[in-house]
Amino acid sequence: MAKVLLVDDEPNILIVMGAIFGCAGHEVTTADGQQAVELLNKQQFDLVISDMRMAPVDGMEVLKTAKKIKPGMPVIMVTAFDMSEAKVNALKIGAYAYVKKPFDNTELLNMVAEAVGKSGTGIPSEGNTRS
Amino acid sequence: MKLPCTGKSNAAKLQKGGLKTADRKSADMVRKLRAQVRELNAELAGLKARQEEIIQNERLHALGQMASGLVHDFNNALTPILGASDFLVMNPQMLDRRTDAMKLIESIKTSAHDAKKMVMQLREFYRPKEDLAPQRVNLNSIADDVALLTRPKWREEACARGARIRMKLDLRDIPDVVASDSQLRELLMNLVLNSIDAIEGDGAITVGTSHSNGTVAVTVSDTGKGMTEEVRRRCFEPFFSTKGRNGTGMGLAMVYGIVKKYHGSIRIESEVGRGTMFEISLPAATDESATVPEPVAAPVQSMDVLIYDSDALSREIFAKCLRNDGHKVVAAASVGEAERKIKSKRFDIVVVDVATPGCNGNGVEFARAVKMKKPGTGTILMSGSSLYLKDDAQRIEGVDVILPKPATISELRGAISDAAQKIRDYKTATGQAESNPTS
Repeated sequence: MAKVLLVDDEPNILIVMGAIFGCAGHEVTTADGQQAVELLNKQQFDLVISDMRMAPVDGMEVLKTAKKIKPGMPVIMVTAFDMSEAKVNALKIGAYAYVKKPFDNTELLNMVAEAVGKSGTGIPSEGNTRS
Repeated sequence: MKLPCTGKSNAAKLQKGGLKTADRKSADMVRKLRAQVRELNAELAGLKARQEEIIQNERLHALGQMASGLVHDFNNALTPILGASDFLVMNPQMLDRRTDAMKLIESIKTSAHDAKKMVMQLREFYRPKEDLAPQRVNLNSIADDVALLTRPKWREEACARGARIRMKLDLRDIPDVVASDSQLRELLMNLVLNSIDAIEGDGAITVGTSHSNGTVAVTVSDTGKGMTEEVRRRCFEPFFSTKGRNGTGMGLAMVYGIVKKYHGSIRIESEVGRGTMFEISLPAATDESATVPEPVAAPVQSMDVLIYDSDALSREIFAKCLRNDGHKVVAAASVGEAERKIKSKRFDIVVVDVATPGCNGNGVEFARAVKMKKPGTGTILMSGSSLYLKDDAQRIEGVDVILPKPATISELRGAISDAAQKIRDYKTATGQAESNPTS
């Protein structure tokens, strides 16, 4: 199981994602963009899942901070926008994947397990790999 | 001297003949004028239709501009709804942990309400304007609505192009004005969209309200590129646009039309490179324009209710809620089933969805048929369409109450209570008041 930082500026989304990842056995911390940048500088995480569009600190800034502090840490970007340009930019900076909202819980959990397994951080759960 | 008879008679004849000719000429003239009036009326009707078409196009243009942002907000609202419901279905043991489960259910409810608000605002925006009567409305709530409705554009889209636009609301305590809230929303929305377009990089938009000497003012100011003197002079002209193919040139013309309709005035301050401020002033509502507060719905005792909705989920949820309130509910999924139930049993209230297939087009026809056969039955039309909003019931024959969908339990109770009031009114009018269905 992994230490996951969930980043979004919508409290409802954090509540639901927190429950989903907590129930799957991950150690979850939730934050908005600004808090996430501060937390990344203070604490160690195995994986970050961040929303793209947030104010005043957006997902790209969270992604850049995460990559600067721990380049091997997978960062999954989640967005309600369908913009290929933003997707390309995020992947270029080093995002592990780009997931559209609303997402499928199982697919996202599988993706996290796979990402954590590949990066060697955390302990991946058995049989949780993406097909 | 006596005039010869013949002369007098000739003069009379001549006069009579002249009058006949004059009559003929005036009759011709009247005919021609009538024909011209008919032509002018036809032309006027055509122009009005064209004007409505242009206004509708402008509304669609404004909505089109926000489409991607709206999709973003809607997807965001759907995320907790789908995420939490899917999670609870996959992990039913979570329901034993009451506090945690309630948190998830609350997040579903809040997000669903957010989505409902978005749809309601869009519906108001799309609504045909001709039948919207002016009413007391507060510009502060309109400003709140517009800030939220345009958020996808000033926040998400600006963010996507790497810019940051701040929206500031500076709303004072102001009296109401008398206008159509929908038109005021449209007016303010056009001004805010204009401000967003005027900001090229980072910037700020401020929507403020104030009042003095019987006038309420709303201002929209931005830190955008500003207007030249020529643009400032011509900006209210129909089809005048500085946005090239991206503008219809009708946004500010519509603003002007709405302001004039409600006897208001517009002031513009603008400086190239510094920004623009539009100030709209409208007369404050007087005491005479006060509206009567809506009466509180009377509690309703148990009634026999038929729900006819082809959507199973909606039918079951509404039936459950009403049964929970002590009503005896019969549900029907098809027009045949609904008709059979009505023939075999007496109902106090019939609830029908507008989009029900098989009853001569839609639920309105069904409600009308029920009312015709059993005028003492209350009819509620459920509608998820912008064609039928709550206040439209009085203009739709056969329908007592309109319940816009999605509806909360309290809105459903309110509709039942209103329908019960209609039954009471009918029974009082026809001398059957003793069988009052409400307590």
